[in-house]
Amino acid sequence: MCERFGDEVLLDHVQGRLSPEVALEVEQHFAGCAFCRKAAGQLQALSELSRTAPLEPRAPVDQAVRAAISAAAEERRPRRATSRISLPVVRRFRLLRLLPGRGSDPLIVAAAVAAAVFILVTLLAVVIPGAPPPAAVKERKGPAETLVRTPEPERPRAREEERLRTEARVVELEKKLQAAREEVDRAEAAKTLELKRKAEEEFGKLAAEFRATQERLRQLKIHDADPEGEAPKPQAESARTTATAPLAWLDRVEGDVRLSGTAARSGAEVMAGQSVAVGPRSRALLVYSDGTRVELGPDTGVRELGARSGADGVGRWIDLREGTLGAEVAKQPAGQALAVATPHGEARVLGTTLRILVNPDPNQGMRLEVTEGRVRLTRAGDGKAVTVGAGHYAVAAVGVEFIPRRITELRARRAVYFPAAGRNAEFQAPMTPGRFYAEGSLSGTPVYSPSPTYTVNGRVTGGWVAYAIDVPFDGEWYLWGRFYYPGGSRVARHSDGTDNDPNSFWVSVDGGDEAHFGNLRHDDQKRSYFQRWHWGGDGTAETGLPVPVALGYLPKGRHTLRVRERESYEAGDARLAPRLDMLCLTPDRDYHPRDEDVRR
Amino acid sequence: MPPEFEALGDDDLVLRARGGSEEAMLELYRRYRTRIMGYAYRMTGDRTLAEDVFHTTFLYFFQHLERYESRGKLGAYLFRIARSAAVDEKVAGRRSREGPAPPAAKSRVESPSAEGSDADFSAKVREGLLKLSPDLREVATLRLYDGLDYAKIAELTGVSEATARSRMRYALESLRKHLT
Repeated sequence: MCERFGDEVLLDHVQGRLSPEVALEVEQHFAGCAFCRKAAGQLQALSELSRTAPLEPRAPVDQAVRAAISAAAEERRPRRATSRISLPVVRRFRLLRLLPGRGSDPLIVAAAVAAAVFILVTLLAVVIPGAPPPAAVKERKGPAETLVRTPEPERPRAREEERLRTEARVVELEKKLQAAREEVDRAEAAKTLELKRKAEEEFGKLAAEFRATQERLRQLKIHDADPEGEAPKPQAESARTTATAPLAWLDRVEGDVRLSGTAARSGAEVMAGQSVAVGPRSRALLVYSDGTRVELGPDTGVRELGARSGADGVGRWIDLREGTLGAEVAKQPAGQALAVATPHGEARVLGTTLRILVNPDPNQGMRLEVTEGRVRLTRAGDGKAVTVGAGHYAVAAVGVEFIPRRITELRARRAVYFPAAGRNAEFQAPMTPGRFYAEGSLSGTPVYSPSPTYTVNGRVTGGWVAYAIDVPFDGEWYLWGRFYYPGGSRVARHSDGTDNDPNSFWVSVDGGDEAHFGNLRHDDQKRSYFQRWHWGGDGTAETGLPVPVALGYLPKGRHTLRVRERESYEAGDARLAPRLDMLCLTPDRDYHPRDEDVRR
Repeated sequence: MPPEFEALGDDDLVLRARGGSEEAMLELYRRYRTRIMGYAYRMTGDRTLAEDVFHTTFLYFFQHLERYESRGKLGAYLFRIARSAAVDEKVAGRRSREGPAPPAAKSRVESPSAEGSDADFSAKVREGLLKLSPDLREVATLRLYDGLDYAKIAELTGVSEATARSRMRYALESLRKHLT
């Protein structure tokens, strides 16, 4: 086997992406390496074979999509004052493609029948009582719609002008919101907290105005569609965002909790339109006037809270961007569910106990766990919905089956613990299990490298330990380690006077890139982790707080994890070598290992 | 199509589409129809199923324009909708009587296998790709067939570059095992 060039370089070569110099080097290598020649040939065949001309949808499919576009555009355009029988169910039925070879979906047929009955009942109600409308003209619009056009009533000019102004303002606010959102992201990326706080405040104000303006436009359009109905009353304030009474209270605040960018304390009122940001190792408890309790966990961001009239079945709502939310929801009035919207889906609750975890990564998505009651969860990608009952959970994420599962199944998979010197460990000297500093360890024999003085294949090394692990299902996996660092400036110094404080290993999976394992970056945090057992992972994390090493995507099956010595220390004093006691493998980025879980 | 629409960015077109502009919607459809169709076909391996995924994707997108957060990543958003639809098709176990689309051009590359014919090798490659999980198949096809770099793949699929690379590694291992 030749390791001179990996698959990525060979693939770049066959796809013509290498620079001329490197491409020449690769070609020259091929002359003497049958393995790489064959590998490149396979990659070229994989790249080119079965490549088809750009695939286009067939005519009926293309036409169906274009018809859907026309219908969607028509829905959004302002309507003239005509009586109209709207048939959304039948419209969808018409647009669904039925090519030869596909049976009719019985649900679609049932929906079409129901819609037909609805049409008949509505027509009878309109046509039978009294004389027909004056100068009525029936205009056949298509198989799914019939317009009965009446002479257009005189629309008050003021209302028309208001509608046009409101529409223009909605478009303008959308652009401003987008810009404000980008400003928040820029401030966050640059880690300028004060700028981020101001940007979030500005975003909150714009969002409140946007929703109020949208609501006003919706009322105007409803009136346009039904001019005989009551004229909408101009509202100085929208019920959604500008109520003077607080929406909720921060009943409990632990750690860093910010309300619209400002540090919050227990008892603070939360108004509609405000945002809530909960920092690491912090929590906040919101209580509503009806007794609904919403707990926000560490690293949780709520972009906005609000309340609306219930016209779309929602009363109070929470826009949760990331993090963890637990709720005990008091029984809500009918048609006014509490809605928790996330980037990946929306949960509507009428009265239940639930927990929601949101990861901005769409492949992790949103996880909803229901303890009591039932929750309707709608996935953002395609609008599909499931009902999650008590004792079940569902995940709305890209590529994940969208069905309710029993909660015990989830909890069983949260983490796998194994000792650093267990039966699945294979050692390369001088890495060894030992009893130095074993007191306080859970396994009794933590591993360490006593001295980087061994020579293996001509190279001085501190050795390694490798583990064969069986990953139970495909996914993103994370690794924690339980460490002890005996060193530090209070114990020893190098000959040049710097701290002798080795505190890390390397870890890799399946021969891939190595990552820091155990090292903690910030000096003030490093000091606190010496001379005590603790769980750690990726020590390069900026926060300086323990986070796991992201191993990346691992398919189900057998893998090899290798932990290698990283620190070289003078005098080879084994007493200063970092110790590794236990490892914890988990698919849950938010899971933090605990000693009690190991002992259980 | 009015030339001014062709010059607009995706996010500007979405804004106009939200205001009811059919031209803006048609321009968006024109820009992405081929890529979404190609992606859907590679994910399902079957033309009819791919057309269902294609139709579902655009239907959902245009009926719920407000759900797209305008950040210049419309392609990634459409791919995510298509991906969900493709996974659902697979979960539903739907089968079509139609098979794959025939290749438009015969490959000029000789099969690296000395034993089989080009057609056999082609069938084996297709089989191998369809055996991959959707995660791996997605990255493998974007890298092998679309020739995208990992930065672009990461943007389209919503994962990190490191994850995309590791998925490609496992995909190639699996394909190689299947072909030998």
